[in-house]
Amino acid sequence: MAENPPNAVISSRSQPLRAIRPTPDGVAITTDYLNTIINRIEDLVLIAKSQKPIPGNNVQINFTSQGAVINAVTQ
Amino acid sequence: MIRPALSKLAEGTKLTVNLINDIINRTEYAADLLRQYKLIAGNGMYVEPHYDGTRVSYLQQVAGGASPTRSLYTPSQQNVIKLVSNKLDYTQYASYYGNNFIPPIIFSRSDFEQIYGEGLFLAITLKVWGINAWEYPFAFQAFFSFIPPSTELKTGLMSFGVMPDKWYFATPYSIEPETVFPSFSVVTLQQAIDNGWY
Repeated sequence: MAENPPNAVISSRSQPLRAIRPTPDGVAITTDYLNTIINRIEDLVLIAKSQKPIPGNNVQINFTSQGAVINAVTQ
Repeated sequence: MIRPALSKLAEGTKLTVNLINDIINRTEYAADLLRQYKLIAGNGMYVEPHYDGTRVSYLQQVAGGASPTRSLYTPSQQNVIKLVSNKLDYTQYASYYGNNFIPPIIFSRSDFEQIYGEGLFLAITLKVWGINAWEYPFAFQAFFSFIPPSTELKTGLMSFGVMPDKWYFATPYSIEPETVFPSFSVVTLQQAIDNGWY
């Protein structure tokens, strides 16, 4: 019986973001913290790209703005 | 729209509106990708969203799940339904191609499935032939008719129920145990209406 290949590992560089705690005098946001946000977003993009469906045997995929429509291909 | 990857910020970079907009745009880009890659069941496919993934199968049913419901039976689809009597030593299945009923086909007894029902009620297990296996449809609605020997045509809208892993339904008509298994026809509700059965 055919088996699925092992899942590709996405190297995750980022950690979940923590909310900023407000203070009466405002908040100083450091470059490090902004880079943490950026890393998190870039991971999100990587993960999103990795979710792209790829047609396998007897399957056709039509990409639309609402989603990827998968159709069974019949002879 | 593709948005450029965000670069690592150098020490002392100012938090500008442009920078915030770049972050927002890149986030929206990722969200848009996820939207585009959401799986939607098309012809012959079944999509079942879960929190930890999306199950994709060849279609036997589409009802349920987050994808749009589509017609289960269309003339282009070939479906075979399996009808099993609870009372009779029955070896026939009915095949159902789109909207056209095909006379029962003889199968091996080894194909018998679990039997449901009691008394004189005819209980039926309904399965649909999938790609290479019998599958239980999530939902099935059909107008059902059969002709017991020497009696008049019996018709009715099938009632059906759900079990955790099986669908089954029974006719509201009783038949004698010794009765030869009646002939079946499964038609769409529209056909039943057209035939004046409903």
